[in-house]
Amino acid sequence: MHGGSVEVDRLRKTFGEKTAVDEVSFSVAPGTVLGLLGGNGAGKTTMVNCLSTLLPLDGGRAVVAGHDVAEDPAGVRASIALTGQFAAVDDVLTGRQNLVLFGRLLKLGRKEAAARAEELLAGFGLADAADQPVKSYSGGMRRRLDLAASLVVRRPVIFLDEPTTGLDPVGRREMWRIVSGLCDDGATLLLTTQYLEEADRLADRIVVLDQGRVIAEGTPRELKDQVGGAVCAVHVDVPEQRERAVRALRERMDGVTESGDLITVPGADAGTLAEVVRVLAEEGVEPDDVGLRRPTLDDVFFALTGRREDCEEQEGMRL
Amino acid sequence: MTLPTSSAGATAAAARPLVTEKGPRNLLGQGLLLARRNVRLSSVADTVSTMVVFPVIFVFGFLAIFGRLLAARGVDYAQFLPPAIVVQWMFSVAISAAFFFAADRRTGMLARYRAMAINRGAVVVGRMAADSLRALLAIVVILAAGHVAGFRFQAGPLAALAFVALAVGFALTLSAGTSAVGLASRDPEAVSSTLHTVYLPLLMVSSAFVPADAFPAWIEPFVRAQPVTAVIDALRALADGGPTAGPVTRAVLWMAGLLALFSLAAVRAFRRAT
Ligand SMILES: Nc1ncnc2c1ncn2[C@@H]1O[C@H](COP(=O)(O)OP(=O)(O)OP(=O)(O)O)[C@@H](O)[C@H]1O
Ligand SMILES: [Mg+2]
Repeated sequence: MHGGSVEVDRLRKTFGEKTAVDEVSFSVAPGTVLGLLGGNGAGKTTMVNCLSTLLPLDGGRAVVAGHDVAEDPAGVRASIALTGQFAAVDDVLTGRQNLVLFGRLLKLGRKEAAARAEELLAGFGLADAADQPVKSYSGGMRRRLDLAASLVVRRPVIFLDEPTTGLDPVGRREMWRIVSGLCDDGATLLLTTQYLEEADRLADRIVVLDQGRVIAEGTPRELKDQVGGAVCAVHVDVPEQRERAVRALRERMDGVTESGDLITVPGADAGTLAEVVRVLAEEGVEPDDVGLRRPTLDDVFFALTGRREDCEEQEGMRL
Repeated sequence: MTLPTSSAGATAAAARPLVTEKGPRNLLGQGLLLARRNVRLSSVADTVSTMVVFPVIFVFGFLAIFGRLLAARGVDYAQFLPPAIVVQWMFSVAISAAFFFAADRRTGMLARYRAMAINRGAVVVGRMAADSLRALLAIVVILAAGHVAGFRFQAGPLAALAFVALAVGFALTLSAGTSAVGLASRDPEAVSSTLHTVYLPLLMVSSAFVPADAFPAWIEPFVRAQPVTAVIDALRALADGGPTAGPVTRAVLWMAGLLALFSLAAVRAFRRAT
């Protein structure tokens, strides 16, 4: 099946005084993956809800797989699969019952719905738990069932709102593999994420949202190039040691930033690295990790907004 | 891992051309699927206690408390009480409808259905069908308990059918109103307790448990004028025989008016609910 395109033109959505999505434009070519990247409250869910006809637009236009969301919402719904931010499946039903119900609602026959459920349960690693009620599932299993539920009938455009938020590293990797599989299958994907590493890994193009506005757009590589070359990254777990290290490094070098337990020094080469190590040794700081690193999207975000994302981010970056 | 989306077999069927969501066939078919889901979601334990045990306790409990007292006033309480318990349980059905709507908003199920290519009205039909079933179950249980206590339909089977229809109609009217509240919230418990604080006084200050003339003079006009009394009086007329046209017309007019108002509110809330 071929993916459909998504065209968004100066889309606006307000809630009372609050502008949640502000003149956002982008397009997703058929069969490609767009990562919508932003922190809490950036407008990602609002954007996805507008595109999946759950919210009326307050301005601008959006066309999904050739259907205008305002003029032909039914056409849009028949072209999309939506996996929302929070797993929406019925807890008291089993995984299989959930999938069969969605299949039947989307007009698969009894047998077709059962066969499709079977196929999805096997493919998403849920075969063993297929006949257990969903309330006994782990967070990762729930999330996989949730995604499976939206794929019961294949659609040219798939929306995934934060597919890995709340998953442990193993669950996240598993989800990444599944999502990559969807892309290989030719579907067009729009996924939102707070994890810069995730967008980097899964998306062909990235749109960075901040407070409802697009603050950057491009391929992961282009965005990385915006912050220049490699940086020197120092991890210090002990807070007082870290403070000491930051103070000492700032005295001798420019642009030292701190985020969580990570200290970065820009424009690094082997010389700077040596200098950093020498300063740390002088101060008696024992770093947990020192090295040269290609800039991550976190650095891009910092360069664009002057803010660092939550510390939660670091866990993903260090993998 | 081979992804299920890239394998053959059932996938071929799943890749069928797009079908529209409009039309009465979809409304009914998808509505019934959702009704079945709604019924399955109300747990067996809860259904047995709220729809079977509690109403029976209410019938015999009130009868034990007030039966002799009202016999002194010339009221046959076993005949008087069951229609009131039926109305009480129609409220209960309506409140559970609101509870489930709020729960479906909280879990995101409502958003999921609304982003799917299913008929726009299917969620509503599914709710109404499930509510009707709950209402019917409660009516059957209450009438059976009433029968044991001495309640009898005295105006024949047609009036008895009209009794059931009016009661279910009342439950659905109320459900439209409560749904407007449930759809505006993501907190099922809060919705349920708010609605209880509205319904309990309305039921108390009606002809449900004692005749209107037993109320103090200052509140009696309200008791006589309010819709809950109108519906209960109509149900009693259908059960007891005698003139039915007047009370039934009054109840139906009340219900039609409320239904119009509640439906507007519910549709508005439904459109806004994501
Ligand atoms: N229904 C609503 N009513 C009022 N304000 C809303 C509503 N939905 C979202 N907002 C506001 O719009 C902004 C964008 O919210 P949105 O949920 O789209 O962000 P997000 O990027 O998905 O965030 P998160 O990562 O936390 O999910 C926020 O400031 C939020 O408070
Ligand atoms: Mg969100």
